[in-house]
Amino acid sequence: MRYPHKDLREFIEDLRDEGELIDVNTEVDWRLEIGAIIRRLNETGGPAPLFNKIKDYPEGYRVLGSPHGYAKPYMHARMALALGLSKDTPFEKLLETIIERLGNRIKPVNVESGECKENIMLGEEADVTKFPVPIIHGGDGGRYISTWASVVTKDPDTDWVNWGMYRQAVPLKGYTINYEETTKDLPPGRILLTLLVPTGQGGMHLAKYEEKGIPMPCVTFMGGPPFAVLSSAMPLPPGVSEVEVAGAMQEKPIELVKCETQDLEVPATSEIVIEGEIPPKDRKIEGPFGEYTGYRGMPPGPRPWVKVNCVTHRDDPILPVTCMGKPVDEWCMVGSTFGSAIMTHYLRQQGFPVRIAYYPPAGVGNHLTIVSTKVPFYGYTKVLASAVWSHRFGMVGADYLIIVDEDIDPTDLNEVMWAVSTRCYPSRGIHVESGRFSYNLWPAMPPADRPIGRGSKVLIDATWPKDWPEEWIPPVMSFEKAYPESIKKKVMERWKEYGFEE
Amino acid sequence: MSDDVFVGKLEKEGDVAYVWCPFCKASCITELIEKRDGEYLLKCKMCENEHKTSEPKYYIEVK
Ligand SMILES: [Mn+2]
Repeated sequence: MRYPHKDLREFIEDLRDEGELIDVNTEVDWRLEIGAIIRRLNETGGPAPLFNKIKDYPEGYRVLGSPHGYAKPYMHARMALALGLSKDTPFEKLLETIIERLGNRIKPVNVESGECKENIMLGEEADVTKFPVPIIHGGDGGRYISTWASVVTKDPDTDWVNWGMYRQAVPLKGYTINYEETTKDLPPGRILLTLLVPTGQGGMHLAKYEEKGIPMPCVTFMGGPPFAVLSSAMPLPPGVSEVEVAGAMQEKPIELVKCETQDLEVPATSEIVIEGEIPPKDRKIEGPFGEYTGYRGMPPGPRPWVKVNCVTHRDDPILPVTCMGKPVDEWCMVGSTFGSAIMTHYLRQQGFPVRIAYYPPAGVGNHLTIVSTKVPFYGYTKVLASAVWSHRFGMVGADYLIIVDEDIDPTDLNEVMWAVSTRCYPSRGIHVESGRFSYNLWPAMPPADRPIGRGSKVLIDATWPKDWPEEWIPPVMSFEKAYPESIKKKVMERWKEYGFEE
Repeated sequence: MSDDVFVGKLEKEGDVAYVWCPFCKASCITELIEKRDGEYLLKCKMCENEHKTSEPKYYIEVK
């Protein structure tokens, strides 16, 4: 293993060695074909595809699909490999590793130059259509370049530099609404239509620049060490520096180089760096796009855009692409690993005796949260629910919050649904809250409530009631609980003798 | 006073807008193929089906 990975290429080597990557040498089309292949792999738990030959593009210009997607049989294999762990690492071990590393942030180091400077296109030379940017889903309103990328912005009033993951489209005739108007002053290769929402951290920065009436420097990078981009997708609070968390995750500082035209920095080994600025209070139509919720939900609308003034890239650049949609995609995986780690860490810090908090991929990374916990006193589950919903990541998600007893493994949905069906008495255990904030990309939210995010949450309490006497709680009839130790030992020892496999 | 914004308008061949597709049963990016005698021949970019209408049902962004 090449951990800590110097760049995306070392990670690709590891994926290939571990059977988690397939080289696709057949020529593929950037128009929908690449997207359809990645989507199908997301739905079947297949390996990451590295597309080595792309129609209309020179040899060497490549696309990496689904770098951290759902893998079989070890769902989190490509997350574990990024962390330098073996791909069959049990989930709770993965989580404890992340929690331990979260506590040890590592500052980046600055280096003079790096591979991302191998090719530099300045001003009118800059052109992002030089890369095989795909049309990812049927119905998308353009070519989406930033689906697995970090967007770097800086708070104009403090030192806080944020790395966030925000989708960015390159206008395409016949797909982008108002194409003529959109491209009247600049060619499409110098325009990134960018979804920055005011509740996001990049959006918070933009609001400050717009108040001052000045353009916001904005740089997007793809590639580099796996955590350079992964950290930008993690649900970290405002003010936290993703580059330090990325360093923590790989236990080694991220190496940064200065941009050519903006006062910002990017990982030295990035595959592609797009430098530019967002003109204040200027909007162009962006969207629609197949979203992480598994739907094409948000209609197109006026959004900020980046005026590209420089592009740098490595020789033979690799563009990483994810295909958001019906679970399981990268965002589901990020939520289920880092969302779970961050929430578990937070609840433990608050003194809650939780086993873990888990965001299953089926809840598309943030809408469903399952907490397995000891129940120390009466009324505890409601206190715990308040804590989950007070956390920033619980505020924008955890719309469905299921609390189960400590004996239930929250990562096993069969166990969780068994607990809900047998321990949650609806009139006692289901608590619906209205007038709560929820994320407005949530498809269940009534359209009229979306502009202000007027949401609703439910607590499903599947723990045994604390006010019941012990004798009311029935013993569990499982192999583990229903037999004497001597019998279990005997059965396990003779298992193969009976004729069964492991 | 309303300042609704049409998300795209279909005026000339090749224009795209976000309009209702009867096949997808959803609003989709749709291209105007031809406009003749007040009839619009449209092509959905999602399902690639063509459909005709005299009044495209636009998605309107309410400001
Ligand atoms: Mn952040």
